[in-house]
Amino acid sequence: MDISLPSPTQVAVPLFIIAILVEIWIARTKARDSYDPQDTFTSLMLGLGSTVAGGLVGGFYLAIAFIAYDFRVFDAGPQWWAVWWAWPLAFVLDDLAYYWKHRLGHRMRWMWAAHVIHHSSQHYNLSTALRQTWTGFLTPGFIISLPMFLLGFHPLMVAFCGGLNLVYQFWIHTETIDKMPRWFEWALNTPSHHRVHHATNPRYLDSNYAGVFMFWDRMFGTFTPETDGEEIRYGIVRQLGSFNVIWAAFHEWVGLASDIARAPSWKARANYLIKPPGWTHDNSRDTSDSLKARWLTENTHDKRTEPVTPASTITPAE
Amino acid sequence: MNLLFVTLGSFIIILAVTALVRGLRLGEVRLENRSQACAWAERNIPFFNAQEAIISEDGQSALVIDSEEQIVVIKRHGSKFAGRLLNKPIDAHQEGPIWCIGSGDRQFGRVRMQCDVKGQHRLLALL
Ligand SMILES: [Zn+2]
Ligand SMILES: [Zn+2]
Repeated sequence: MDISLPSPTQVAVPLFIIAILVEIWIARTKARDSYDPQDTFTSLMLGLGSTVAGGLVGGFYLAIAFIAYDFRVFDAGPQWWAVWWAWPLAFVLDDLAYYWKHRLGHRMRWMWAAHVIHHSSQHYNLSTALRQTWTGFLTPGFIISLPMFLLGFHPLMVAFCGGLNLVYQFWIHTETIDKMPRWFEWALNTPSHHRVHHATNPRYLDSNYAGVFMFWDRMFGTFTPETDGEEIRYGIVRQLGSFNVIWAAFHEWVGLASDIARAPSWKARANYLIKPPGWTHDNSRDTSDSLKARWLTENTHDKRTEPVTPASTITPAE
Repeated sequence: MNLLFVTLGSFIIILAVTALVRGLRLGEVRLENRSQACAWAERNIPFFNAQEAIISEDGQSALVIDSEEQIVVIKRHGSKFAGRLLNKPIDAHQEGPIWCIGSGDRQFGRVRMQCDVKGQHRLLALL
């Protein structure tokens, strides 16, 4: 006997649409600039494109997962799905794999080329969540999940957990929720933590890669809390300024290819693939590290730049 | 066949949601004054010290100049603004009362500006 698992993301699509409609309705009176028709259209089209791309290449990656699974160390037998404790374990391990995949998605240009689509909007609302990659299959990201199959987690189990993970991440793409209860903010990814992840403010760059569990960021030193009173600028450092769906999906691949084509050596070509976005062989661009470093020096030596102390924490002199 | 059907259905839903956002007139913003344009450039262009700005009368675009004579062109992008640092000489031409500023980025596009007399003079001086 085998088991047929539903695709969590497909089941959740009607809920996504209802939630977006509710958020639009709230925006109508509370935050009229949180939605824009062109941005919404692009976000939803990118979501649709991602589903189509997933449908076209998903089977190929499942096949690779099954090959790895054939070499598994532990075997749960034909009724692998009946081992109840393997489910939560698979979910946590898949979330850990997600953390590293996502972190590399920001720190390695090759992976960034596929992930940048998710950060391509300057708006931050539930529709932004649907900007999912079209080209993840062109990156080496899947290697990070291979150990799970080699350990003996069934590919369908891992795929199901990955789907649930993605569904969870939908609701955190909103400005309508400020903060969740403290215990929740400590343990899980929330709108507040994920707003920081989508921010281009120097203090927030390269933070909060978590999928579901926030402790990966706390453990690996990438956690940054949201600072009250600092207005967040969403998107990417060099904003696209375009609603073109195809450009949003492929622009970084075009940039990467042209950099590689113009690189002076094979070493530089390899570095364009593996170094962080913004790296160049002649140091002609900013990286998130250089932006952050300059911002830090300006803010320790020069008090004229952005206010760093939220008004609420200033104690009145006695 | 099924995939085609689902894709078409999704596309119709996408159009409906977009129409709703448009119908509610969400996302309509404008630059109200020069200091807003300057503040935007300082926040969004790394290490830019804005000195003055020329804003389009419809509040949809602006040019901001900094202390080192760098010029950034800003345009409304959804309910936000997006900008590009310009290379000199500035690529600009006039179409009737409208100035078209080349951003140097084809996908970003040309930015249209409608300026008052003072703005026009300042713009001409930059060219
Ligand atoms: Zn990300
Ligand atoms: Zn996100």
